[in-house]
Amino acid sequence: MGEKPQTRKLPRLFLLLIPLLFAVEGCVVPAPSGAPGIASPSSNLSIVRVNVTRQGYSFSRPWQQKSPSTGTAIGVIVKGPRVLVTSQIVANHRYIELEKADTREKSTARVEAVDYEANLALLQPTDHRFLEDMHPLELETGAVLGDYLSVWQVQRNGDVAASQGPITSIELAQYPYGNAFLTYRLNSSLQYRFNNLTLPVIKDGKLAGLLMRYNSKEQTVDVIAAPVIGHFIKDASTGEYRGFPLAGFSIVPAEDPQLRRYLGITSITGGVYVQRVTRDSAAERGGLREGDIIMEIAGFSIDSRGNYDHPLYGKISIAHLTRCNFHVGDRVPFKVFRAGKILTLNIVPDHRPPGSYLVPPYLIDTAPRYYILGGLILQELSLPYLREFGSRWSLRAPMNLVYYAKNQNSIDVGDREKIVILSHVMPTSYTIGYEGLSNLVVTRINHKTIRRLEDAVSALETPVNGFHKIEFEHGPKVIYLDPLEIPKIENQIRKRYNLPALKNLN
Amino acid sequence: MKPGTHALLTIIVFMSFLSPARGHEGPAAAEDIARVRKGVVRLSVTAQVPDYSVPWNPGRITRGVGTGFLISGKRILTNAHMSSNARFIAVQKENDSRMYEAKVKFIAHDCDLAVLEVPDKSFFNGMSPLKLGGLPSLDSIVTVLGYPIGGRRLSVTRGIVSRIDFRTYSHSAADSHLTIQIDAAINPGNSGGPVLQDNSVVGVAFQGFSGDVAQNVGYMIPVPVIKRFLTDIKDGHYDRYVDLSIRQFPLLNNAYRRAMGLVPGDYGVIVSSVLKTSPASSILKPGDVLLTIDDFSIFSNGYVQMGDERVRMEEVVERKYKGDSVRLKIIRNRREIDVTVPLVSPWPYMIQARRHDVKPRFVVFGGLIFQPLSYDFLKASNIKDTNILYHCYSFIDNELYLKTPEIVVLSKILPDPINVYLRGFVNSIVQKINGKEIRTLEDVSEAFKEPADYYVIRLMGKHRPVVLERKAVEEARKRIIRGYGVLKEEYLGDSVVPADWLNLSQRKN
Repeated sequence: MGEKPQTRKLPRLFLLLIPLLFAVEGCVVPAPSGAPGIASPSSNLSIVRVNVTRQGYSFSRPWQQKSPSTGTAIGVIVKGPRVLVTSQIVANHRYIELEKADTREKSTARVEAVDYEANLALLQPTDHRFLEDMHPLELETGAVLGDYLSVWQVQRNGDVAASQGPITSIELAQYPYGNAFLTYRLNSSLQYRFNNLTLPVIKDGKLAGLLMRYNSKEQTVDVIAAPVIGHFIKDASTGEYRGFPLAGFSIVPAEDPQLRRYLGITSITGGVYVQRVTRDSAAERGGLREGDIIMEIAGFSIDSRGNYDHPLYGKISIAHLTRCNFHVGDRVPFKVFRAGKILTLNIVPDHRPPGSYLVPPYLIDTAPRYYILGGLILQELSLPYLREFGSRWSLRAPMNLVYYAKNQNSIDVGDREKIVILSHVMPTSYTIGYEGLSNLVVTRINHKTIRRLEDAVSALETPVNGFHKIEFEHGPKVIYLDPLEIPKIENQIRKRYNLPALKNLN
Repeated sequence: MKPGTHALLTIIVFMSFLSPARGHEGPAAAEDIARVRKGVVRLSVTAQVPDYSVPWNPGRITRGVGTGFLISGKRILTNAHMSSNARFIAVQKENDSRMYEAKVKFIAHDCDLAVLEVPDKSFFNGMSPLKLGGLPSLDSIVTVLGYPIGGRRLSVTRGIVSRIDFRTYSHSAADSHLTIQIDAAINPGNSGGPVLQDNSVVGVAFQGFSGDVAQNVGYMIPVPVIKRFLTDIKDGHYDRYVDLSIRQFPLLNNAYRRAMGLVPGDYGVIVSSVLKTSPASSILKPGDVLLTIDDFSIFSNGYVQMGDERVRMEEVVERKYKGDSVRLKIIRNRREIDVTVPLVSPWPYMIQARRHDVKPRFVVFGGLIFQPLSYDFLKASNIKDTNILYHCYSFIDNELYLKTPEIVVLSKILPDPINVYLRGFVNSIVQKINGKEIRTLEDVSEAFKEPADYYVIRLMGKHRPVVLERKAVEEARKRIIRGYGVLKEEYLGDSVVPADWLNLSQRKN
């Protein structure tokens, strides 16, 4: 039984930006790649300050919220007009306010569309005329390697200061929740100031991207690339945002000549090996199988490392092709090599909301679900829960829980939709002897299989021989509670621990 | 580990040795102490520790200093960790500059004790063996003799008995036995020295407390553990500790007790799991309530009263030997029954134990190194892979040993043109080779000896097979052996999986 999850002040996302916060304001650093300069005087008509107060949830104490914190982003006015920011600034927001850089005029705003995987959000002011006299920026999706981009920061007086840097790589990189999307990497001795969580990145007066993270040590800036933004804005303009398409398979290189001879694919060139097809995924429905060699996607031929020739970027991963060239519901033609034949498959990618995963990768803007059964705190296992064990959570959290999280696409969990765990126990006089139990997977309650949190509630209606029998994968394996004592335990918990509610099943 | 320098293993010394005796020692104690001092020896050990990252290498040479003492039969008692993997041990008496070679006669890695012999019997001239005493009581004074760091001559320290309880012995990291905690500071270099009270040995100093939270904490191996070791080796062979092979949960909760049909009171624990490789698995079931063990009543926290001390119920089993059994009174389905459970030394725990005096098991094929998962392997490799850590730490809880008694890992690749595309497969668990299920390292070795054009290795979580062509492997073999200095292509000795278990489970499959 491991340690209890520890509460942390900042959501994990913020850690990416911490190097920024340490940048010393006013310290003069030579900037060989691009000396800061003042952008054109009208630049500040294309941006607004976005002040957001956020309040995350505690997954180790799921009935309470963490301490609220306020951050500021520099949002970009895009057509609509709307304000574009990274999603991390609006995660678990309680209050959003737009502030014009020059006049300091303010309006509250609401989130119109948000994608936490692609780290993008569109905001709409509650005062519809607030952005009327502003200048929306157009999107520049044509940036290529070697182009110089400007990172815009806003000074206290409202003027825009630009730092320049060349694009040194364009490839797929990890976004905050582990998804890979197109990323420009700039080499820039950015003098990071004013602690803003989003900064516009500009090419020739047009929006080329948004700053996602800045590494002050290596002086690199990772930028959410314009094609990703374009996909997001286009999808959001339909009124019902559906997210980036996901086919649900993974690949490994197939260039090993011994493997090719063994598979009998010496006659063909290129092609990448399908390593895993996720259960119930679009790829599975489309007929893709493990062991297939993908030769072509949407007319692009695929090399043995899983790259295709992009007209602007050269060789780049097929993940960009399926993600950014298509939308949810599009039909994507695949040519695969299987058992000596070339087959054509049509895969219709969809999007999986985080709640549909066995172990949800993130849970934002929603309070954690929990149920306190006679002092036993039951929850559904999620990555945010595991992340509360700290940055080295994969080594510090209980190994069997980490194993579920990391292998959720491949292990057999029967008909369980979620992994229900006893996270810890609130000690009361009726639960003596149970206070040390924590992080145990609940398998059955009163002989009923627990597939999700709600099952725990319904199982309580039928005690076994007058007792609630709770079964776990490990630890004591079985414990009992007296149904007649449950109201007394709940009473003690309410009074002593001051809990606002003993459950949240929404 | 390095004798005498391990962070956890140290000895205690008393400053007040020559000052007027206090506590148990009377005015005549000085003469006795002088006699006792003559029984204490200094050990200089050269050991060779296997290197699990280059498993065919003879290993790293380490040197260390420790303590031992003479017991009956011209035997020197010391810690197992002083004499593990030893290649040369020299012993020296106080006030005698000569060094004599000593040899390990018996070594017990599960309780950190060893018996040494000195072939040159003239070494023992003028020495008298120390007598074994009993369990000292709490708050009584004990004296520790040894050769700690900070000087070459014998050192003496003194402290009181602070606690008597079970504790993990860090030499194996997987065994817990009765341990006595004393309050003297403990320093490296003194392991194996005697702890005395009334001129009798009441313990062997063996480990300290690592970490900066606790202070003045030292541990000694108490006499019951020493006596058990000396009795076990009487037949000329050390058999290891035996175990009940169950896990139990305290019955402190009243609702739980009522659900089990127990009347109020402080007694009984519940069986939560039974190791499937043990005879207990056909006798005990999860959910059984244990009431007594060999007529000792079991309290609801799992302790029993033995003489003046409350000790964990395991202590009853601790005093038994290979072939013994225990009698248990249990409640099953609300009825009392008496059962007798034969005791054995369970092997699945060994995956989580430090091992000594064994060589690393491995197979090299096509530049790919295959090694079984073990504590020593994990420590040497610094693996952070969830799959591998899960298979090690959940090996017993999730009964993984039933399907795979030995988890084999593709642990390293010696780069060569035939395996350059395989780097991404390092630190994966081997499931099948040419369709054959891999359950032990022996299976790997056999599979590669079967003639085939292709060797197709299936790894857990990696659906793309690893393919090696026989011709290519044969061509590369000499090149790899010579280039990387591979002294041996496999070592299949020192397995922890008993042959009879393999035969039994093979039949079931």
